[in-house]
Amino acid sequence: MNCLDVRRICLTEPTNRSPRLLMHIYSCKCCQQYRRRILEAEEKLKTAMDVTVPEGLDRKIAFEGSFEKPSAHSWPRWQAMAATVMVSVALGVILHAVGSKPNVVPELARHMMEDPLHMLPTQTDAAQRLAMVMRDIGGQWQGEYPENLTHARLCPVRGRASAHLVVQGERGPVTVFLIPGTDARNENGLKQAQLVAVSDLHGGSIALFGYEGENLAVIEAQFQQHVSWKQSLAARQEAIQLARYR
Amino acid sequence: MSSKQKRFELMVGALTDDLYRYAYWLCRDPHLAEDLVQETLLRAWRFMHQLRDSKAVKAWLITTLRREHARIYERKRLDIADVDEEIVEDPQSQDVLMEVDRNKMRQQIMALEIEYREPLALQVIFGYSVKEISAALELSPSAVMTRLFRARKRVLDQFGEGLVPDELLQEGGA
Repeated sequence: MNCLDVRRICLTEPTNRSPRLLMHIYSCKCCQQYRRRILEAEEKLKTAMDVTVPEGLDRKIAFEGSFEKPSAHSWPRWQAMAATVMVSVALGVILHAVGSKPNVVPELARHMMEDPLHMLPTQTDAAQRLAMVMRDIGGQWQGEYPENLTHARLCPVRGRASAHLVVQGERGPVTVFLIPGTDARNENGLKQAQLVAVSDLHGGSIALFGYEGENLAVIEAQFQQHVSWKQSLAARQEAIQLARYR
Repeated sequence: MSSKQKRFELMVGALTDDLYRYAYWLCRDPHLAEDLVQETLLRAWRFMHQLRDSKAVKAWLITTLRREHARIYERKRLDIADVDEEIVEDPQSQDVLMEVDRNKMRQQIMALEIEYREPLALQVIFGYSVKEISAALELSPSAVMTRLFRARKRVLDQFGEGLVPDELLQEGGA
């Protein structure tokens, strides 16, 4: 592989990390510099293409789906409204009667197991991704982005768009989930090789998974200090309802 | 909530944003993009029983969205949108990139023909490899590489001095 080949790959697949490509880049300063410039340009491209998604679009679609049968039959709007009220009341009664929720920890643990690659520090743009992810879950990161962040993406937790982050701790990678509008405190369930902590985060929840010996409280404090929610859950749901009937 | 509905809601939560961004760059119209995403996901809901393989879901959604876009485009014979008018202001990410540069870059992307814009969107938004784009668009890998190369050249030429020299394309690679 020569410099020309490397540059062609950089331009057609900037995130390509094939061993042959990396080997050349490590040994060629010109190509190193070229790749750095390409990756910087790629960041700008990503930011430019990251148009704002209409607020609550996902919920609006899920809401539409809940009233549409697989046969594509759609209900008149008044029936949909009536059904919403009935479902909400029924759900409220059930939740009140049951008085407990399914444990969130096994769900998060399964999620981590399904995608172990996220533990590797492969994202060069984790801080920028964090900004996007926070925006998409209705929150924001205030202040400097964490230097130890290596991964940030949007993930569904309990059907809710949540932040799936990885930061480097003292003992290795620590996975952090930020779940808006969900009180998952006192939900525990994984006690083997990893430490787990689930706490309130200004009305949402934060769950941290780290290796034994890791001081999760320090990392949690970092998030408690910098994360805030732009909208309350009630406000978001109201916005979705309005979007549905606009 | 049935397991099918739960799967649907998980899918919607995970993929709506990227599908919207992809749809937006496909049609360059925020309202049409919203309709396309909604129609695509509701179509997925109707066919949830066929969407067992979670890995194939994204590809299925992209194909469906492309078809729906082609169908609407054919039916309505949409005029080519005026680039300047269609740029959507996005004040939320002012701190991520200088507003002026970002809007300039958006205009460059908007001005690309769909054959260049689409593979670029698949790669930048979904992180697709050349091979995956080639499968999604039913093109040869070399055709995809050429389109990605030209797309980047046209967009980046305005920003990166000498970042995309013509020789790279002319000497047979991309």
